[in-house]
Amino acid sequence: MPSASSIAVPLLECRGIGKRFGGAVALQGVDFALAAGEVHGVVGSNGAGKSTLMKILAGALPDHEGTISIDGVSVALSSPGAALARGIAMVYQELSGIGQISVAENLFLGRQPVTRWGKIDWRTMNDQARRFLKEMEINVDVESRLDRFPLVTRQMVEIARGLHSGARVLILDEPTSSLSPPETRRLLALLGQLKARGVAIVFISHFIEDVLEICDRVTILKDGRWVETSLAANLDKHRVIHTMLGRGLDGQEVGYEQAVALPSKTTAKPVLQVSQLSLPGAFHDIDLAVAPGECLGLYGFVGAGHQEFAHAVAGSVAAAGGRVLLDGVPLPPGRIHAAVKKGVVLVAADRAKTLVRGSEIYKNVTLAHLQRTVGEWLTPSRELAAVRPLLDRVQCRPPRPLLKAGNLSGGNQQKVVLAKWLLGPVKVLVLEEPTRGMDVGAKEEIMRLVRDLKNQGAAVILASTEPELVLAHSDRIITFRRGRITNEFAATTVDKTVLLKHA
Amino acid sequence: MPQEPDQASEAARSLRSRFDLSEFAPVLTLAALLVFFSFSGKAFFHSGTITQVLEQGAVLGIVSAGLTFVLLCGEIDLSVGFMALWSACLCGVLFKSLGAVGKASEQADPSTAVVAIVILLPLITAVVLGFLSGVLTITSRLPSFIITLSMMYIAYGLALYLTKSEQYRMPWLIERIGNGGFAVTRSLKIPHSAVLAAGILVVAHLVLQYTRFGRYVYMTGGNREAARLAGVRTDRIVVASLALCALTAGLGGLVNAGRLGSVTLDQNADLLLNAVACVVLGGTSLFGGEGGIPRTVVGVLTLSVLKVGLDKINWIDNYMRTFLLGVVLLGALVLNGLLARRRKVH
Repeated sequence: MPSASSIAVPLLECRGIGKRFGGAVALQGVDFALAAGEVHGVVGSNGAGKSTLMKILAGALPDHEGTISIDGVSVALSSPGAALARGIAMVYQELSGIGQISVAENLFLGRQPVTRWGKIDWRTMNDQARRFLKEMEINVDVESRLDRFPLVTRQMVEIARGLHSGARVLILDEPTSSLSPPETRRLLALLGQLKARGVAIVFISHFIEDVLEICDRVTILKDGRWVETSLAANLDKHRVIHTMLGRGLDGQEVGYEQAVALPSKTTAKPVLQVSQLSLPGAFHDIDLAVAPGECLGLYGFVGAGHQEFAHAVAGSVAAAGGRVLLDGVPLPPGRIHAAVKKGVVLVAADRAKTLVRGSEIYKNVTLAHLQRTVGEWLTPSRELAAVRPLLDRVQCRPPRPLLKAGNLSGGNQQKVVLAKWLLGPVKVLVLEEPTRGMDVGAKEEIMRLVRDLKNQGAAVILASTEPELVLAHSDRIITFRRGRITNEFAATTVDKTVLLKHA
Repeated sequence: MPQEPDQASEAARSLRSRFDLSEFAPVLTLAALLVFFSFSGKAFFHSGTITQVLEQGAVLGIVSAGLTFVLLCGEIDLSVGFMALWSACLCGVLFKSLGAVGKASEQADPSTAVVAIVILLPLITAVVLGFLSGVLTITSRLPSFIITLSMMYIAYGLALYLTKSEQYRMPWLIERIGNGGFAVTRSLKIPHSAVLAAGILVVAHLVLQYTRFGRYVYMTGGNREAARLAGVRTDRIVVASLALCALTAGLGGLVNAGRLGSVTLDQNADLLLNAVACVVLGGTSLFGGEGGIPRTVVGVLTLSVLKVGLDKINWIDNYMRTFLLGVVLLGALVLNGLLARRRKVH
């Protein structure tokens, strides 16, 4: 077991790693060392620099500062291929092999054994794959298509592929975020076994419990800088979270470190009730209700299911089970047109999906309520008359309705998306990451519009992975973890640390 | 905080985009062709040429009007050529059998009711087939490319089965539309078919520009997910566009058969490619959301002028005409495409 201070010869050592994107510092002066047979956790909140560090190690960002050495020899990881050649393999969160080909083919991807005639030697390939996976205690039929297997198996095959290609260092990016608890157990068991075989593993995760369970050491990053590296045995979840969020370099408390006092639960009759709503692979048996003039925050990590839940409530996707009641009347599942007509509207996170960028601003604004606002015969003058005052109200800059929507900045694009709903009735406003990627000023303007709607009696559901946003704007907060509700916060004080603990 | 826009540069940019060359590239292509052919020989510079261009363009115009809807919402209909053939064949067969039943002698005029049935029924079947293409495209989530490719064979197969490769006469009304015209001067005649095409194009333009359905067609093509999230029933828009396209294709087939006096299985073979070429030549995007009927009109005129003009240059080897048509078409499409891409970069 390696200890925090003394590692004889690290397998992989980074010194003074730094990276800038344009003017923004993503990483600065980070030291990181990894020993053979070690599982090393890397944690930090969004934007702490975990992904940047891992991309550098995987050879995807060759123009970084600092030095990387393997077995004490300085190396340049100039491309993913170069990193792989040095024995560093990365398993991405999203990418889990090619579904349409067999497990064995995935394992041998790009390195298939061939016969003398140049034909793929299927028998050798399948035999070797079977033996190799058996050694790792992954029991699958290697001749079946990969997409027949659940995600955890696909991830394990992907890990096996890395090892089979000769990797000594495995980088796992959020390997457990989409897995159920028993699947997580299986994956962690596999990692334990690899560790015993001397493989070094970097384990990046939001799930502090998983990190503390499997890792020998944990490195905590914050704002692109190294904060500490400690033995996992000396850490607990509360300490890790506190260090992750803790004081900034200037000694200032960051964000909503202070507790936010939530008001007591409103006694108003709920406008929207959700009972036992389920969508396999996303969320299960969700019960909740939201009242007019109330903002309900849904907080969880990426993949926790609260974002898919937001889509299901608004009818953008059809839930598999359960009901959504608006004023006691069920909304037909997956029928977004019916939901919009009744005033249940969604602002989805991805503006590539909410904005017709190639069309003029006014066409985007009138799209949802053409008949109500313009009538039967569309003329530019009628439409502009309806849209102009609205662009002033949402403070769209520039307020020029004939401009193509794609020419606006991100924040102003979102104002156009919101303006679209202001032309009709809004009973329930469902927001998914409404301010992602915006600067502070634009964020504030968007949320001011949301507050206005709320004060006019709309119920707001705010689903986000940003604790600051949820804390700042919610009257009540529900935390999601792996597709289920873990807690509800109302009439109490809550801070970021508490939220993260329940996510 | 997004900076306040610099008013002057904003104005300059919008002015520049208003006089963007690429917007007018299709028109300039057409003008260039007209100038070229006018200088190429005396034969083209004649009022009779206008009649020929209009005759050539009428069927294309009718078919392209519906196809514009389909391309605008980001889909394609490969069945237009054989949909046209199918409805003409059904019309011919119905006319023969009903005409014979209605009157003892084939020479006598059939009743108005018979003519109405003989014309409307083929159009209705075309709409039904187009509707089916749309519903299958939506429910199977396959590209309309594949579905309408199959529909193309179905339409051709039906026509083949129905006619057994025989030739059928068209009703008198259809022949009149196909061949007749309003004489303006001795050599200049406005064909009835061109008037019909103009009417259809005008209606299509009004629908696209001034009705909710038209707007939904554009937005469905511009960003289908955004339209869907705004509550637009994009599935219905796609189905309706494909049904409309089948209707205009069927009508185009009738007019074309009328022009030729009768329907045979070798008609309309190149209608699909010509219609797609017309719509795209005018500058309507193959990926949806951009374009419109005025552009389609320019495209139809360009292709018709090109065809008529090439025919009028007598020193070209007869067997080279199709090749040259392809070369000029390719050049115009690539040029327009490059200019459109340059506009996107701005």
